Amino acid sequence: MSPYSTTTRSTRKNRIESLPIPSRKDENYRFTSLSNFNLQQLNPSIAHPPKTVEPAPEGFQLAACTYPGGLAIALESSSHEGLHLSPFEDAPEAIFQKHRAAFDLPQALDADLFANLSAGRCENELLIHVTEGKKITQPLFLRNFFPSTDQAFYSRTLIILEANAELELAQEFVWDGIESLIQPFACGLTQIVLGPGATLRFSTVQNWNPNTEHFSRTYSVLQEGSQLTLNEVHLGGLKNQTRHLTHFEGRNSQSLHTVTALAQNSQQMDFWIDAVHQGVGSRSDVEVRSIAQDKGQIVFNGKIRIEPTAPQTAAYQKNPCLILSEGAVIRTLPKLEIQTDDVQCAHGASISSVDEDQLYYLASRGIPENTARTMLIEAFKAPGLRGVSNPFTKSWLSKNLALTEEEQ
Amino acid sequence: MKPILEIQDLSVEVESKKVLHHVNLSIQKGEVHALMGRNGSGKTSLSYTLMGHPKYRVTSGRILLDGEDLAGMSPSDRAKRRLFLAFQNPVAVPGVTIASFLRTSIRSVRGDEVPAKEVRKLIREELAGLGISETFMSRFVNDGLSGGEKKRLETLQLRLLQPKVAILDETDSGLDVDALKAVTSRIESLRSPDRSFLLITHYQRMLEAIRPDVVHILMDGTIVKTGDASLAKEIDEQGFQSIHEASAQL
Ligand SMILES: Nc1ncnc2c1ncn2[C@@H]1O[C@H](COP(=O)(O)OP(=O)(O)O)[C@@H](O)[C@H]1O
Ligand SMILES: [Mg+2]
Repeated sequence: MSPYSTTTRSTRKNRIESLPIPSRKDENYRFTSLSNFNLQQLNPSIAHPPKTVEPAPEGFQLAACTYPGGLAIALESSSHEGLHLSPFEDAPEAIFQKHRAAFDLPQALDADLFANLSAGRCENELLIHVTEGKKITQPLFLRNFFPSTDQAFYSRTLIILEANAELELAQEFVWDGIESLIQPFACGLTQIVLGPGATLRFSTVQNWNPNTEHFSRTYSVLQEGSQLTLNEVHLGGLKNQTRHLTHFEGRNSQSLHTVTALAQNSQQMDFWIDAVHQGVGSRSDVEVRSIAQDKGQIVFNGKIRIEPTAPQTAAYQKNPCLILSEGAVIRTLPKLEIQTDDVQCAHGASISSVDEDQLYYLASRGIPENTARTMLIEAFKAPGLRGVSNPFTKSWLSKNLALTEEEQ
Repeated sequence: MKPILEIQDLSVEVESKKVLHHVNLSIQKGEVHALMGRNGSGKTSLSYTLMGHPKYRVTSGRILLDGEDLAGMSPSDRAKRRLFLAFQNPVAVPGVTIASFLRTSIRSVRGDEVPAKEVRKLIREELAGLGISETFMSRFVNDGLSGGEKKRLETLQLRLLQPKVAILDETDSGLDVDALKAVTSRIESLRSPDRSFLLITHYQRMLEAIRPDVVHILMDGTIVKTGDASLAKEIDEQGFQSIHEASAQL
């Protein structure tokens, strides 16, 4: 009998029925229309395991591959002391008992339609657990693979790091590159629990089929002195809504969160990032770097909430934007809710196109105008690697950001 | 002999403001010309126009480099024809390291003339010559550099790109005595029968180290006087006022 009770799934399935489809009047859906959204058509797929499994990028070990309707664990749990990797059903009793709440949805996502869809319809949830004090030095790699034969892909991942544990993780969202007439729908939920003093460095690259409608939810709870470094690159999808909700529960917990978004053609990317500070001296630093071209649209809906229990908090949200075409649209919607004194908060957004004087300067040194333009766009993307120290992660992200790596 | 750089009847507008009026100036191969003038007289506008800044619109006249009309030519193509401008206020380019900038630039301008292996060595020698530490290379172009460091970086590029015609826009401003010495001696040693200079400066100091063959005075976008090195000295002693009065009487 597995400790993970599948009643969570059925509860969440029922919850879906009672939730309305958000409309554009809904604050956070102002720029993500769900008018043609039909839940009945988006049933989970039957599992088709990928025929070939690509190896992980250099320096990483492939840990698991999730695909519509299925999950393949690629790494024996015993391969790293202190690491447990399995479907929820195979979660050890002790882990399940200790983190029972995290196996369900948090209250804060109880009314979130897409979080419920992931929790209710995903039947192959992945658990990653690192035991207290264990540092997994080998960077691990997760792949979410969405073949063009499938229409709907629900995934769910729970990452738990016990006190003082450490993990470096990378995750890619990819498709098989085969064009089809199916309109793909991807819905993912990631929950992160960092125990006291734990450190998670997590990089993701979203490179879905450019026709995908993609909704992802990430909920993180940071306990005392824990550290979360997130680096995200968003390249694919047609209509994307990415929601992050982070609770800084513990004193001195901190996160460094960097998003690089490239929207081209008619891609829409809608980021909805909330930092909720509850612990004294906690710190959040969010930077969404948006690049829009053609008719691409990027929205950054950022909220900082500082509760009365969190003096000496520092919270920053920045949204530097680069517009490369006249038809591209970028919006920043910042919100601050500060309920205590003695805090440092800053919201900043800047929108510019490629700077003519910089272009002229590079060109005056013989650098062809097109190359100079590319150099300036790369320069804008380069801070997407903020906080990344592992050389393999750096080079994997650089490749996905199309950055020229510095010659040695 | 055909001049290496010939400016004929050049008038220029920027942001619909007329900044240069019928400027004529010819530089022969190997010559050093100095261009002096008050702030706002149009010196930087002239140098930007020569290098092909898209905002500076030529409304009359033309610019010939080694006999070739530069009209419509992009800044990068001008650089490839070995025209060089050291900027008065070079712009910061955060995110682009000096190392990758210099390498891309040398490769673009000099092609295979310098083998890739040599480039690094060349840069290292030039850094040493200008008293710049090698750690400088990993910094971003002009980003957070002091005024003096920017001028040194401009001088470094001048040396690396080996132009036929170099325009130096106040490369001597804002330098302390030692830096000025290092910079001027690195410029002076580039002087050769195959290279010409247009030195834009306010100061006699630089012109003592790099003695000009010809001196021009620019005033309100017009060249009002041309002479030899003694003209620079005269300006240094009497200021632009005397010239201004003399030209007003014409
Ligand atoms: N980009 C520009 N936009 C508007 N006015 C300009 C611009 N560049 C130069 N000017 C004007 O042209 C005149 C000449 O300026 P500049 O060429 O910088 O002179 P100098 O280098 O001799 O000090 C000044 O009146 C200046 O304000
Ligand atoms: Mg000037």
